[in-house]
Amino acid sequence: MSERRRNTERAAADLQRESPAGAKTHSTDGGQSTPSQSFTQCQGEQTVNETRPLPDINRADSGTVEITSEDDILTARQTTRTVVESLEFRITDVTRTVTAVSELARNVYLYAGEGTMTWYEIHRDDRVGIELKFEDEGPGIQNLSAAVSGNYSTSHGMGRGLEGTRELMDTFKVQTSEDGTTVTVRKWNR
Amino acid sequence: MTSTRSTSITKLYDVLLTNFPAEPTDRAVDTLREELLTLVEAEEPRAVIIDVSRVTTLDSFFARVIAETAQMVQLLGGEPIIVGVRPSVAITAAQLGYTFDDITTARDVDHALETVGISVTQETQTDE
Amino acid sequence: MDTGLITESLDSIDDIFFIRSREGECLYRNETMETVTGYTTEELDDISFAELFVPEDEPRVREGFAAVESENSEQVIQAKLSPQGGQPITYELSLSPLTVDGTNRGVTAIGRDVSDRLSNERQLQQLTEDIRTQSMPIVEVWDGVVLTTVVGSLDTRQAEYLTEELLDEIVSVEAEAAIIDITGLKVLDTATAQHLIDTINAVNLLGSRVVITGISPDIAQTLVQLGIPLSDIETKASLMEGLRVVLEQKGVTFE
Repeated sequence: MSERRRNTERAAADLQRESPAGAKTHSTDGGQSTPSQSFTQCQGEQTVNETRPLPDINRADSGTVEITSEDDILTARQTTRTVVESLEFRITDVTRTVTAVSELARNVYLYAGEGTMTWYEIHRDDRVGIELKFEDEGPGIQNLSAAVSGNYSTSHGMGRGLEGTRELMDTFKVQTSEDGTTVTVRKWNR
Repeated sequence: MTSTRSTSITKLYDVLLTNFPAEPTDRAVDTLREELLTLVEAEEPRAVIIDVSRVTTLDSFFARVIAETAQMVQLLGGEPIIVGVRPSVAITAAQLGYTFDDITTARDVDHALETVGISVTQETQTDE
Repeated sequence: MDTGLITESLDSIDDIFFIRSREGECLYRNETMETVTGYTTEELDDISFAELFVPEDEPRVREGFAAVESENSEQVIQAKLSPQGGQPITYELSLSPLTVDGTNRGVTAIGRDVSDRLSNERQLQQLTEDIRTQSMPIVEVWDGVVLTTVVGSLDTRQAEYLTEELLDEIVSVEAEAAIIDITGLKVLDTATAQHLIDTINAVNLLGSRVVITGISPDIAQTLVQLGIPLSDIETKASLMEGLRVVLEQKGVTFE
């Protein structure tokens, strides 16, 4: 029995070293500060490090969720789910959007400690959709192009992080610097 | 034959069955994992069935928790089996690259039990 | 109200406007009728309204007028206008009873060119048909075995529909195996290959087995070049082989 316990503890320690979960990263002391970078993907086209505005849309309803705790990640998900279901998104698109929100809200919490998510009901022509903006004043993403392009090792089939979120959404825009990060995503009803 | 340890973990024969709640907080997920692993250690089940049929969002955190839990179960000598993945969740998970390669998946609890040699037709238990 | 203003505005609209008396006389028609039909106003005096339409549609127009009068209610009909020396144009006619001081005086006819609408409708129908013929039918070929055949190419939208419907079908028939036959898949680019891989992974997450059949040597090469480990995917050269292995697992034997 004691041997099993030792195995358990060793196994737990191994996993903690491997997995980046749970730990909040702080700014590296004396390390390089995050350079200002941006990335936009819209309608299949990508723009890197240019200020590219997203296509014009009409905004209707909106709301904000403060992200200051792990529980707020759940709130962000639930709020998003309510909104997109009311916009009659297909179930798969509901799942995609809520999953992306969970990822982005968690990033805000893990890497900046706090931030906000603002959602907007958006309209263009006869289409309706949701726009979500995640803002924080955290240390920023060091290497944005690596993070969004999927140069992210998949361990245990554990996924493509920011790149994965980008694939779930129709429009994806990130601006990051040492002063903070803003991620704006859009998903349209189909 | 069946005893309930907590609201989410059940024991069926020598198999542990846990139900992931629908929209858990990160903390609730952590707690569930802790409870589960404690039980795995104590009961030494031949398999642990992780039922995610109520899960509607599988993001990287949950995916990692499930994968880690499964790994731990394996290290402790049991077989982890995931059941009840919803189509929309499966699509999103696949798109994000969560494939749970090393973990067995099954359609439902009955089939999961069959995988480890327990046939539940007619309420009889057959060990093969 | 200045009636001159009204008649001027009626002359300036694109629709044809026509008032017919109970006796069948033309009480009023707007100038648009001349422009559209190509007849002068004198010529129009000698032609009855219904005769302005193609022979097949004439009876329908007459019946429309008759129905307005007998039922005292509005009628809407479609008929092809036959302009002098020109191609027929499809019109939608709104015919209304004209009642003055409680007495019926005749029929008011307003006609609108709907050829644009029709061609859009036709295009939409064609598009739907294209999607349908190019769609991937999903069939339960055996108890617990679903088969889908992919033809042509797989764009993002089609791939998503395929995956969603395949997964829903797998859940609803409790399929233990799915066969995806790509014999007819002509184009395999990175995106399509990724969609295929995602579909395979999604089916696996549901606990079902996936067999890909009909991979041509070309496509096999493309997959390898794209870095997709074929060893992780179960493949069979032909659909028949795929069915065989799946059914054998279910205990069905073949000679």
